[in-house]
Amino acid sequence: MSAETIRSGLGDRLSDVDVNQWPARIVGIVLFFVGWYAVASVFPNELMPYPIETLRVVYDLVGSGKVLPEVTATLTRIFWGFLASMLLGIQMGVFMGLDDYQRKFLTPHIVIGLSAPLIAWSVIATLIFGFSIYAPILATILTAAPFIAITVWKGVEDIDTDLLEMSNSFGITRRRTIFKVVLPSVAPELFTAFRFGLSLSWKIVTITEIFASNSGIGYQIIRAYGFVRFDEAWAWAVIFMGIVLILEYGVIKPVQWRVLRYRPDTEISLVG
Amino acid sequence: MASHTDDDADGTEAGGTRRAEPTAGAIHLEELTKQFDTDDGVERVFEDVDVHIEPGSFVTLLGRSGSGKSTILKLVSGVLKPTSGEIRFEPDDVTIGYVFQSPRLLPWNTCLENIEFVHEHNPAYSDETGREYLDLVDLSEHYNKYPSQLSGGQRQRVGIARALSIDPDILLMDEPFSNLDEITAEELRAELLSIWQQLNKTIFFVTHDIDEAIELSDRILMLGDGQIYADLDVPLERPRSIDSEEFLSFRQQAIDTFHSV
Repeated sequence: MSAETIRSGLGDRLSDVDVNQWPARIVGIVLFFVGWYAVASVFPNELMPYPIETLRVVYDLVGSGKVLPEVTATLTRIFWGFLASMLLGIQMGVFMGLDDYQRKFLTPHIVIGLSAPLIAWSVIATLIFGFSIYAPILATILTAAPFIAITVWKGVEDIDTDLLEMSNSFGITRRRTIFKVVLPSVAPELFTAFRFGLSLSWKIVTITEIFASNSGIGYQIIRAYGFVRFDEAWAWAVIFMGIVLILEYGVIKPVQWRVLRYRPDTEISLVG
Repeated sequence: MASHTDDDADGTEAGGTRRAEPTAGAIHLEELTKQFDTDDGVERVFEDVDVHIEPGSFVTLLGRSGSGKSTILKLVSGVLKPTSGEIRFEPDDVTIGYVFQSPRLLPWNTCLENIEFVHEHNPAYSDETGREYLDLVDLSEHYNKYPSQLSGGQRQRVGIARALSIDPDILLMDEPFSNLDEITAEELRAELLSIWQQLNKTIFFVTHDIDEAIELSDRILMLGDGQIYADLDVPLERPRSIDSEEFLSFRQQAIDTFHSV
């Protein structure tokens, strides 16, 4: 095989990567249910229902029309909290990457933000804002923004200054340099920040709903728990997981694959 | 490799997007001084450098690493500003193309997109133009490949095509072949000469490699101790053969001059 064939073979694989990962994903999801089944068969049924029973409760919940308003309530809180965290976190990360003084100034805040337990932020935000939507938003910012900031900071620090100089020597405008050089080069870190920032937002919003809300998935879980309806609590947890998976595979992965497909496929499969 | 001269002649006739009469610019460095402020005080890179480069000529700046050769190139390109002195061009509004030591391609863009990137201010640019320049450096098979899918030599070709695609009057080249294996570097040198002869560009080339300088250039400037200490015209006919008697005797003379400082 000539070098040319090897290279064009590599090019073909580059475009197939996403398709090839589906069997592995399906096996992963199936294994999850098998594990659930195994655990459920050990514990008493009222504490840990079997997957099929739970899916039936999910079906009933969805059919009753109760799911959509609760999901909407949670998603609204996550949307605003996460959006604010991304804006603030990216801003902080860029400052830290560009300026040593700001990095030193922001580092202790970030360390505290990263290390404080989620529940502490929930409680503090609830004490400040009570049952308003600002409580989960504030708790989300306190939890997710430091993580986003630290991830983006690494990305900004690693920007190849040779490429910036190249852009400069060809007289490219600042705007085009930002969109064509800076953003693509921090894209991997932005995806990491997006994905983990979003999952942190999910966690903190549902925890905050337990304290400071009378709606949302977190509230429904704790309510079902209060009424000793464990199957319903599990059903809400499954709905929660379902939405997270749909977001991950329906939105984040396809976008990430499109944006990062220039990378050699070995690299993609390692992170993918 | 060998056929690209013919291809290009066809391309020029058929496409006609390249200027009918390519232009070349003159470079004048006048009493150019550059110093950097460091923690240990002021570090003077070079002082009162006076150089005049004729339009269409191939001039090489030869020096050891750290002698400030790349700094001079960056001053000419405008990336750095001189501490004192002046850089003038003829005509005043020259276009300058820059080829770097590493190709400095955008890894997230294909070859064609990398060419397109530098045409922000060129409304006449089309993919046709981009392909034409990729053809010129023999990359017709690779328009839509990403840099990670190319060899080192091919990446540097894209860098050269990118610089040529803006139809520069002056081409600045900063040790463009020093990261390549010698066989690939030799191929690219031959191609560069043939492109230079076709397109009539002024080339200002930086290297630390005496043989490369002699093989390529009309004129060699030697930089050391903050001064241009030698300015040699290369008296060899083209094409040059690196094992001819004339080449070897001039090479000896150049080496002696080079080590005189």
